[in-house]
Amino acid sequence: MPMPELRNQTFQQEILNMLQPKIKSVLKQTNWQYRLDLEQEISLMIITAIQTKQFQKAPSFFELVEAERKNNLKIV
Amino acid sequence: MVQNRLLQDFLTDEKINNFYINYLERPSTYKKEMLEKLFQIHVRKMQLLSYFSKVLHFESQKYDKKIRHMNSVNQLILDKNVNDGEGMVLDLVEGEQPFDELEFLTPVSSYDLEFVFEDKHLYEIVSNLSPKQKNVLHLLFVDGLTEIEAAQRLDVTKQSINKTKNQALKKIKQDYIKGVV
Repeated sequence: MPMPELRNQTFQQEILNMLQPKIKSVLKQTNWQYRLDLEQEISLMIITAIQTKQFQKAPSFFELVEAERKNNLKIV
Repeated sequence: MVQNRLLQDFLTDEKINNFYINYLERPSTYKKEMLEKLFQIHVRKMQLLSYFSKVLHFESQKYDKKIRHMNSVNQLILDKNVNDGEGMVLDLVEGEQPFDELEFLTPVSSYDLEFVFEDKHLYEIVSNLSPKQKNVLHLLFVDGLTEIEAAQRLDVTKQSINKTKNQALKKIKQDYIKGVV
């Protein structure tokens, strides 16, 4: 079940901001005339991917915590 | 010590860590749901970041390739026919001189250079010059253009203007000396 928080604009903006340095570095792949265009293309691609991309299901937090605890017990 | 990288990252955020401790001390369903939600967002963020950090490089290369391809297919050919063979791309490129000025000035105002002269003798000599020579002299000395400007105006080279000017002046000089002597 997709959460609405994973689709809204603040989340998109946050991801875009986090990716800014990567985008900037990747722009060097093309000529300076096309860099702004490329930047736009990439941003568009990121936004569509955020909205549509399916990833494998994330584990639940408490399951993980539980697993950690068992692990630690084993080690001890 | 927490082993799982996801959990580790998630709990390094101080607010979340405090929230989790708070939850452990006084558990409630609301807090549990909140924690779960925050964690899901965090995981999604990590997934997206790792995905993009791999993909963006290839995407940009793909884009560059596409542009190169487009440029090699659609080259800018200045004398290519456009409008069903009625003109060339070059015709659409704006010249240095504004169009309307060109329109009004090109048929140079006068072949009547001779009217400038008050001396009857000079008047006769100058009337005998060819229209082209009169035209050039008029542009250079009456309108006060430089040779380059005159060349642009008449659509010929600067050298041609210079040659015409020298020939005309030489002719005037010879005729004048002949006439006076």
